[in-house]
Amino acid sequence: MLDLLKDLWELLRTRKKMWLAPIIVFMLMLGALLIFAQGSVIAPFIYTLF
Amino acid sequence: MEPGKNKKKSIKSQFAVSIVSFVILLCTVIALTVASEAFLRWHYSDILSTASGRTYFSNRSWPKFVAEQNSFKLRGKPFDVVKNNHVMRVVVLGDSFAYGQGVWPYEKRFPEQALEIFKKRHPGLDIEIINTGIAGQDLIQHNQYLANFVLALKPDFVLYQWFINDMNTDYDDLSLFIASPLIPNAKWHKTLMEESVLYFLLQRTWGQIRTQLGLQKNANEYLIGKFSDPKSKPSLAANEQLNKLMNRLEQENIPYGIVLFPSFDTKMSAYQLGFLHKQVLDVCKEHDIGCLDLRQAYSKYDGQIQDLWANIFDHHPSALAHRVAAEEIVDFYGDEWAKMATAKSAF
Repeated sequence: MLDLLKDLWELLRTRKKMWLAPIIVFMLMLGALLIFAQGSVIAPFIYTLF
Repeated sequence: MEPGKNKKKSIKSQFAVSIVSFVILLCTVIALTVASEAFLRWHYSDILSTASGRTYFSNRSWPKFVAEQNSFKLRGKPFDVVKNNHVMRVVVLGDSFAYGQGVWPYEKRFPEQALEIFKKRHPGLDIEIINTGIAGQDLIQHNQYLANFVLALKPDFVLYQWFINDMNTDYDDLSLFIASPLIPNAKWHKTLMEESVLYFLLQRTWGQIRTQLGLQKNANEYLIGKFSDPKSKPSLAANEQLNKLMNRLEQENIPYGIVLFPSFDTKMSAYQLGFLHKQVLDVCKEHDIGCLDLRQAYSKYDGQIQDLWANIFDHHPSALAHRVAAEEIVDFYGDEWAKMATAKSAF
């Protein structure tokens, strides 16, 4: 995983595509958020407030 | 050209490049945020509710639920306060479980499904089930609602739907398990929770991380700490309210029952809140009434507990969980209802 990130950084740096960095970071964060939401074992407590 | 001038020009151009880069980065982040929000709304397009009722998802589906309200602002088909004396009237008193949070249309809720099952088993008997479930009600509010509305319906039988949070009658310590907002400004936090899926997910994840780190209690820890001792002040207060409800129904000579819903957060084999059910079942014994605890029925779904959830963000009962409850209710109370309905029709 760390190697992949290193390679990615190297690619962005040598090809001068740093503008892609925020897009990649955002997509990684969004993916993590989705995985976390789907697989979370900690339940939201039921306190319906209207 | 003078070297000083060159240096000045170079600094100026570097500054301009930095500003342009920053603006491009800002625009990219804004565009990505908007795109993420749109994607999440599409990805979770089937979500109707969340555990808390003040989120984007709840707001989005609110018109759907409002469209199902009758003239009493209750979800369900219309009914008259004045009842037909030949028809047996069962009134369900409950909270968001009876209300059917996360379940649409309303016919999928357990009171409506129980009526359907009962009518199939006893086709000749006239019975109606009125569902007065209101989301967010606790025992104090149930008592008020019983006195102010339910008794006016002249029920022949009252079925009280109980859930673990009914025992909580004071909310001063709610902050112990509700995550502090990601944005300290309360107004902004509320607006973002109601308008953004991305913020809702971030806030939810934030709460989960805090719980994992032990910075905030989870629901089980909170309830165990507060109610595990039946002689604690909160337990006694809940017990008093429960007795008040039962005494009132007994004073009015209205037969009643209680159906106890467990929390679907954990498998029934690992359920930690059995002591709360026991406290209610003990009161049932004291009053000599039959109370139906659904833990046993739901234990069959331990391998697929997610099937019992309304959705991943809301562990209220799914349509399947409502169906299971309806079948159990008719198995448990059906004969008593059939006897009462037979007597009514002969009247």
